[in-house]
Amino acid sequence: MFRRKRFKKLDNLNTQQVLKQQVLSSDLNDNLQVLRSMYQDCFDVVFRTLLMGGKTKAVLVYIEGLSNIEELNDHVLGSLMEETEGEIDSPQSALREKMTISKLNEVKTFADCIENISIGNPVLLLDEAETGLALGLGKWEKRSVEEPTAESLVRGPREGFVETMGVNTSLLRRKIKSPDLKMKSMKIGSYTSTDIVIAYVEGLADQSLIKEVENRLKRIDIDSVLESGYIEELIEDSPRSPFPQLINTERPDTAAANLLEGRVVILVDGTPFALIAPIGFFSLLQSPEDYYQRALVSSSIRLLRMLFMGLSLVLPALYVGVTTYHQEMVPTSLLISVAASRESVPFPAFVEALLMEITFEALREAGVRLPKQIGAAVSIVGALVIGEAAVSAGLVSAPMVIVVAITGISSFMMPHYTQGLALRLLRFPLIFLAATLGLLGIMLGIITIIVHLCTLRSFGLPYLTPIAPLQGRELKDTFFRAPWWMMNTRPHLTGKFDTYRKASWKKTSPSKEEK
Amino acid sequence: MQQKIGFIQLFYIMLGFEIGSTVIFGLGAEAKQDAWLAILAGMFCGLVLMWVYTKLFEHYPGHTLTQMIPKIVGRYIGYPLNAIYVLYFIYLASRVARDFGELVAGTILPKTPMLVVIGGFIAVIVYCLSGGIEVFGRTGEILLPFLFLIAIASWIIVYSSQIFDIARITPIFETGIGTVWRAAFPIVVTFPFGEMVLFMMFWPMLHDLRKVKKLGMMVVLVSGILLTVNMINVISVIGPKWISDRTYPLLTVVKLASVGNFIERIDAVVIITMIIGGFFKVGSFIYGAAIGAAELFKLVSARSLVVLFGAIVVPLSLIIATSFMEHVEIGLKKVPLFLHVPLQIIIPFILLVISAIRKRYRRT
Repeated sequence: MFRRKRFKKLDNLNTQQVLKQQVLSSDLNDNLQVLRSMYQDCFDVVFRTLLMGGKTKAVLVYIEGLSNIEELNDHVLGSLMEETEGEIDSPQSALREKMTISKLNEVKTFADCIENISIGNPVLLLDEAETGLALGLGKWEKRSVEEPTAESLVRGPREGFVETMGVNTSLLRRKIKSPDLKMKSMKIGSYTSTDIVIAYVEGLADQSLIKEVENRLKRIDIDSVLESGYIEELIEDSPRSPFPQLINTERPDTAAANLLEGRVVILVDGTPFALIAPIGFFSLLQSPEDYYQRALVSSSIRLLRMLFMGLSLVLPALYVGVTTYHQEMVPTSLLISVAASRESVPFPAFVEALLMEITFEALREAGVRLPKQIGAAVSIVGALVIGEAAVSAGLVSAPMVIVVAITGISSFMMPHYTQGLALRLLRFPLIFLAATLGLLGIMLGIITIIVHLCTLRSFGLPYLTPIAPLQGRELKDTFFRAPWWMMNTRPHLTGKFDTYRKASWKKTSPSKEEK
Repeated sequence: MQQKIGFIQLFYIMLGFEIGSTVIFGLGAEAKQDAWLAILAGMFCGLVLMWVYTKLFEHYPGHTLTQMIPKIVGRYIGYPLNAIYVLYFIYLASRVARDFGELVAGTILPKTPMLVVIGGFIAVIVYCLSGGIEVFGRTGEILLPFLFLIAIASWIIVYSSQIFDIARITPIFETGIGTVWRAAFPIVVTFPFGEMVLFMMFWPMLHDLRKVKKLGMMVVLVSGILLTVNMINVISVIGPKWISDRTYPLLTVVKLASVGNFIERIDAVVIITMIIGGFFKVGSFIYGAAIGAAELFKLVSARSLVVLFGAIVVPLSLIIATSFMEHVEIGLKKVPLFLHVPLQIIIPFILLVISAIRKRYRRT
């Protein structure tokens, strides 16, 4: 009963999929029959029969809405229907010469056929030919490049990834023009056959890292991949941890910056969120804007962010612990005012904190899910519910409202939403520990979290680098962001890498003569 | 594959181990205002002991204490001796756990059962150790700097609250060198410096084995100096009389500190910070015992034993003494004489002599 279930390979090879493996026969009618049986009950698949040059029978198969019909009409059908003069030895080669399309592929099996048809490339099957032709005329409705909504900046590029793979790769390619930017493609998902692209910069990313990423991706055996979150959970090192071990980003500039630091970017078709690996805890505290604003300002903002990360984790717990167990720590005058405001509150601090935090989380979740038109209503109700009204009704104390508000704001400060989620989640066990063991409970909780972070790895990279294990040179970009003229070396992730990113200490200051 | 640990990581762990439970007690309090001299004297003896330990390690590089003992004195004496060392480490782990249990129960959580406090404390340690030495080392790298940060901050608070008077450490040598020496030996020498015999279990896991001597000496020096400075500070604030009266002189000092009537009563924060030191002390003992036992019983991994030893330490720490007074009494009178001195000083010294003789004999 407790024996582990035997690993079962996904087994959805039905008869049609067996047919898929078959090679195209030379008889057009046979081929057509197979294809038609596969696309039974698919009204959007079009079979267009035509006579090539008035002699050879041919069939064009495509899916409506996925292919560029205008070009199909102008460049394919037109030239195909034309009468050809003289004998032609092979209709295939004649076609290649005639059609004014840049991308032409030969297809030999039904699997190829289906693959091409489903990505929008019309397939042309000829009578008495064992190969068909896939015409690169895929074109479908796609979103244009817009400003990323999940990670907004004041200064920095305004373009974000979209749902289409081709656009995303081109966005990356436009940032890194070197041919060293490699992009390997693979398909995952037996039903969705989603395009996955592994992008890296050769010479910067460690070969073993790329191999590891590829291996992990290849081992995935799943029926569908609809978002990069699927891939993330399937390839991360510790899926049970609340902390993300891969960063997702909507921004091509973030992706490019990480590629240039020797990381690997995984693009998934159908979602604007790309994955970055390997990452450390401190990469989650960095916003791309840190690198665009002045170094001094960015460094101070980073410190502020770290302070508030700590606050968002422990502030409610600290409030509960101190008011329940360690009142003597609070200065007397403050203690009196806190006690006065808690006087009418019927709950212990623990219940009060839990009540408020859960309400706040609910409001936030509602704010995210609600249609935009009624979002304003929620914020008004929210402000009333967890603000003034709750206090004047005597349900919660005013200091608790302040604590919740600060916690809320500090968790909004996290530049990566996934990390904010982890902190939000861990806040609750800490509140519980504070209610049972006071400051000791908080300390034990924090030590546990730190130990947990120490056990984590992201693709072989210890999660808390460069603090533990300590790597002095990399501290330049951890708590502070060193000015660009000081960033001579690349961060060391795993294995061998190209160390130097710029000539050392080269500043463009006025030369001595000018002074 | 055996996990490795870096120089700085082990340095931090050893420093946390040394400072951990020592800093809160009035170390060498018998010597009154000369307590800091007792610590200094203890430190110099500690350097000698460390020399013995590292010399042994030089004779048997890459060997833990329990691996080298059978090679030096033979199997029939060696294995029982190893068992004694393992039990010794477990006993010390529970003693330190009790120390911290009493500290917390006596100060910040008076109504909480000690079982809960020690149980929670050990649970976190076991969770950390089950990740192996790498995780332990990395945790040290994160937590120890934090500990020092808090320590420095609290001393700044103490200095700035105008209760500090360096004149209180005078007159020096009022009661004579004899008193200082009696305070230093055997207590200060063995606790904390002699306890470093435990780290002979850890050294083979170091990345660079040649640095062991440097590491050991550095830890003794740094921790000795830190403890001395701490003691001078404590004496300068509360004077020689209170040192021996109070169980936790350091806490008395921090309680007195007050800056601008706003930052006051920071003792809870200091206690919580001291927990970190205890974390590394108990953790090191349990892990050392686990390594020793794994070698004794020829187990592949020490990690599986960590949970077991953790489960032993919790009840053991509660039954080793019926009251705090008895616990302190045993700690001051019996443990140093009957456990520390033989196991930390006499046996390592005999081992060194035997192995030195063997080495010479083999060479000729």
